Amino acid sequence: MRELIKWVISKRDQTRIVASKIAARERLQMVLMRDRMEISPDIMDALKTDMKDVMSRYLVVEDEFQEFAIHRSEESVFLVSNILVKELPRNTVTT
Amino acid sequence: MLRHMLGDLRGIAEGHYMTGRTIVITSGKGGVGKTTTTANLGTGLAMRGHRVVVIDTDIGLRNLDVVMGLENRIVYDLVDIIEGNCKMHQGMIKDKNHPDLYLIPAAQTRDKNCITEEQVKELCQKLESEFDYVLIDCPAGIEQGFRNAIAAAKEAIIVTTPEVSAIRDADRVIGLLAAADVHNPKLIINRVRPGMVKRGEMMDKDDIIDLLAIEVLGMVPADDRLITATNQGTPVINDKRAVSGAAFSRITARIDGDDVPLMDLDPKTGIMGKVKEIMGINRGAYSHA
Repeated sequence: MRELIKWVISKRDQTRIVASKIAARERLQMVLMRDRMEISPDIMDALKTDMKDVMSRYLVVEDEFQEFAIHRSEESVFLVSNILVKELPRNTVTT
Repeated sequence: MLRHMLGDLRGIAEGHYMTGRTIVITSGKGGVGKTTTTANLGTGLAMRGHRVVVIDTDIGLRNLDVVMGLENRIVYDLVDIIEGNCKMHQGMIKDKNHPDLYLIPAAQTRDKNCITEEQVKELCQKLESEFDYVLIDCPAGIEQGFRNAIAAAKEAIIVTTPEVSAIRDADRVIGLLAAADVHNPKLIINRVRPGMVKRGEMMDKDDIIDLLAIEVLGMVPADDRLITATNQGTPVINDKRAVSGAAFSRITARIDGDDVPLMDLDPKTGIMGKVKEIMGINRGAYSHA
């Protein structure tokens, strides 16, 4: 009888472990990953400028990006950027 | 030349060549125990024979004075000192029990924007020449009050509780401190309930270290005696029988450079303890932290 009570209590405790501490840890892992991915507007501006500089070495591009933003899905983070190419200089076209 | 040397000697005699440690106690989230921690660590360091000043930088919401039981002695405050309405020493309140412990209270009827980071830095530099430890109690949040509090600090202690919200905010604060050039903050995990940890219902030290990648300075168990001590305006570290007080003592020793191992906060496990645990009435029966 005592064994049965112990068994019931241990079962109850096991289900709680899954429900509580593990849940807290897993939720925090996700939320901290997302939080740490936040990029400040200053850094975004700097990244934008640098990317345009690099592109300008190979292409003639518009002054402004049509889109430049961080997108998130369930498990990944993307940088989505769109810029209009005005001209492909001759030396960049493969023959 | 001789005059120079004499000047140097006089400086040493007056303590002007001391360089105290300025440590900010912060958390991001409110209500996790920053002020209680500041009061206890300040008292603990004074008990170890150091000259200590604790500063409440939560302008408009001052509380360190009541936690230390010094609320009736306030004449001047932090803003008065910074604005020059009084001399620095007039604005410092001597503790009831420890003659080398002083409090600089926050102003209650002003707002955070009436002082600047530069002014706090300047004040702390002066204090560092007279005190071994300058502890800064930071307001909750990450706005100007936070920036004022961390401006002068070279070290930081982050207080958290084993809860998702507090840990998330602690992570934010670690990032903000790094951006402000305050590196290697140490963590105090407050209000740990060993029974729950043992049953796997509360995150333990290792879970939190994994999440935050930060060194743990100590854990403080949830303790009724801490509440009664605070009710009376005496930091619980003065109470030899309190488990939370003992935990703060060990944390103080670690801050001061002693090598005190971290202890597990296991509930007492005698036969009665086991019985009580099974019956679910083992509340508050902890061994020391």
